[in-house]
Amino acid sequence: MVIVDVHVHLVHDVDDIRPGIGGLQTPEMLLEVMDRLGIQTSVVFGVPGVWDHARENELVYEAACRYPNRLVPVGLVNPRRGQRAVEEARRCVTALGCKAIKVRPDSHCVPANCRPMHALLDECASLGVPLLVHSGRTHWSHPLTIGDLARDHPGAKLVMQHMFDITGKYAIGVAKRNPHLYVETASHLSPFLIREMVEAVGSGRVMFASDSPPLSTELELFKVKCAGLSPDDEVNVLGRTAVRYWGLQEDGFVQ
Amino acid sequence: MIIDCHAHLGEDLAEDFQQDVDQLLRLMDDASVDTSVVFGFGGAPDWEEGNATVRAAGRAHADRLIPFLTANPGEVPKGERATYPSAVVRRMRDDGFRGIVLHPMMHNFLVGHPMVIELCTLCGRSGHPVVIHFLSQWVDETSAVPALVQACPETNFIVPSVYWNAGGTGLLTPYRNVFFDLSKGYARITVQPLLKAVGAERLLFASEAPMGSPALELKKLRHSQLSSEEQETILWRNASRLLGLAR
Repeated sequence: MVIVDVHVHLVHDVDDIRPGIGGLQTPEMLLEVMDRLGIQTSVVFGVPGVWDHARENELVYEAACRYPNRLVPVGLVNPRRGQRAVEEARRCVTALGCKAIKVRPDSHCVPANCRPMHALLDECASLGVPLLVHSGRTHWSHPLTIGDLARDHPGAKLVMQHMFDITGKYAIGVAKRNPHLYVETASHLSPFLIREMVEAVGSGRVMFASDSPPLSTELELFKVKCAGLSPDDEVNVLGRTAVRYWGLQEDGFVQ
Repeated sequence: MIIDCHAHLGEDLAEDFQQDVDQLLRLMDDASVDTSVVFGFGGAPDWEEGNATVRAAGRAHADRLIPFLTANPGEVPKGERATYPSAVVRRMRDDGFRGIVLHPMMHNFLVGHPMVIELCTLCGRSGHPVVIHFLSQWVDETSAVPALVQACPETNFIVPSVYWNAGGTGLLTPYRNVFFDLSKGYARITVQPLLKAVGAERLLFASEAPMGSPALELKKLRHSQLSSEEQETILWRNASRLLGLAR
């Protein structure tokens, strides 16, 4: 079976002044988990929440250079930095070979539908890479706020991470209304809403993700298996959809 | 006499707010505000640019503006953390800042970190209030603050956004070194319950301009069924005492 994990943090240093992110996760530690669980490829980015992610992005680049057939590098940026965030996104893609850009609105209290986010998505679209947006329970990252962004950029590649709803089914509605929006399963609390998402938009737009190391890859995998998906949908969610979206080989490896 | 304890200068791209010193002075004049405490936007692209703007405004209008320094402990390199708190206090003294502002959520740092406690302790000893700027109703953002204010009994803390963070406000009412700024609250459901909980002596008039309007906040206070004495206490006496202003 092909398994691709589209949401993994590399944590090269644990800083006790920051909220916890589950401890260290070096590329080698991650590879050990991937091998144990049969995961061919992980989409990786650094630690969110620092103001300037340049150093984190370089560490991710170095990791992807060491394991080019297993890791897909993604650049993290802070939209509050305005034009500097756009420039960092461009540097990540053109100089560091990143295949997407990620933002975490909650870390910097940035509404996902604000002007700097639109500028960032425009830049991603012109670079031809997806923008991955953390979703959550705040107004900054609520699925409906991400829906505003998706609606205004029908030609852009956009992934709603977590498809996060614990108080409603907003992510499902947003995904239904925006056919270009993909979602991933990391940290979502209900396997049954994963099934409902698949029934609403099809398994061709839903990707497995763990959000390790804060979360357990093993438990996140088990969650998808608890969703009651058809065998074909499960194959799509665990790997085949990501293979297509990220341009991976049919066997799930990068190259 | 009216002292507005919360106004911003600079720009916040994400929230699409900007305010220069002339715009703020006009708002102050329109509301008969004599003096405003000013700080940059915590979410400005570069908070140090905001500090520079605030410092310049404070110098140019020393009779009207009281500058506070936005500090970001989250970005202090590990090797500089031992000296950071004293460096901040020295900088406030040298550059004329009268207090500091912390944005634990925006800047993603833990208020229980020893360096943050040391920073707040030194601020208290040097007579500089500490503004803890909350942004949401998340209890996890605020649950560590009671321990901080207990650990720094000599430090006066100012907490804005009291309506928007009712849970956090409730946690902080027992501590006499915590003052609440009333910006963007509601007359009946913010001011009156707080008055009952902590008394007028720990409430501060504030607008959070340019998001809030000094004139409107003043009107709210006038509609809060406070005695003249309570209004005077909230409009300037508490702030004057906290900020060490001569009167």
